[in-house]
Amino acid sequence: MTDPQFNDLVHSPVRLRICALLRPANELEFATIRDTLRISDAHLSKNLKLLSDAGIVQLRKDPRTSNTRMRTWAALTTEGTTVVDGHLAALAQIAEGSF
Amino acid sequence: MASNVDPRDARRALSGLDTDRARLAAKVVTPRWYHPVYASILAGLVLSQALPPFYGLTVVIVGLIGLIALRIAYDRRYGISFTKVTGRRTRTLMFSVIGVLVAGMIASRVIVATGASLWWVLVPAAIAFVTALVLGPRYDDALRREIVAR
Repeated sequence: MTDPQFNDLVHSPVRLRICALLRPANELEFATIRDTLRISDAHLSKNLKLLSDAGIVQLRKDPRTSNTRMRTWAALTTEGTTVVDGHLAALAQIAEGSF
Repeated sequence: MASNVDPRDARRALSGLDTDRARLAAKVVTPRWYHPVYASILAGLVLSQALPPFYGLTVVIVGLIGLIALRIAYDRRYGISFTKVTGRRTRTLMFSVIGVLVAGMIASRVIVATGASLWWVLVPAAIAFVTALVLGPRYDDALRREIVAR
């Protein structure tokens, strides 16, 4: 059971949605996240960078082959998983009115 | 900061996450060719145990490379990687397939060791094939439910 720990960086609506989406997956491709959350490339890119700089998300680029574009994959880091679980637990407590 | 968040906003935020997860789960759709190819590789691994050592080892190596290639092809095609098991149902299904594969490989070895007709090896291979073919779609369905439930 994760201790509830509110995180200001994760709490931004888009970043929270990105983190929650990555939580059950090993990795998700940039376009999959963008299409699922229905947000723009720029918006997603900016927020992924913030999460990556904070060590919550790890970004990986597929090597480009001759006729394909380079793909970016995102995954929660081990530390990021703890942070996100803690934040979701804190949100759940707030939602219940007990934080 | 935490005390500034209204419980209604927190409930709304959490509810929005459920919608996103449901949308992601809907994308976890395995193509029609995936399970037959996967089942064929498993059947090949069972059959490999009845072959002479060199050929058997070759089939095992090719089969393992095939399983990895299949996984990578799926991930790249759909932009989703879900190799980690998320819940009890998917874990049960995965271990069931592994169990049938291992049992099938052992059965093949036993058939060869007892000197029975090698045609009998087709029985455990067929069981492994059918098991993977039947449980594969069930695994996908369980995975979708577990993604939504998380």
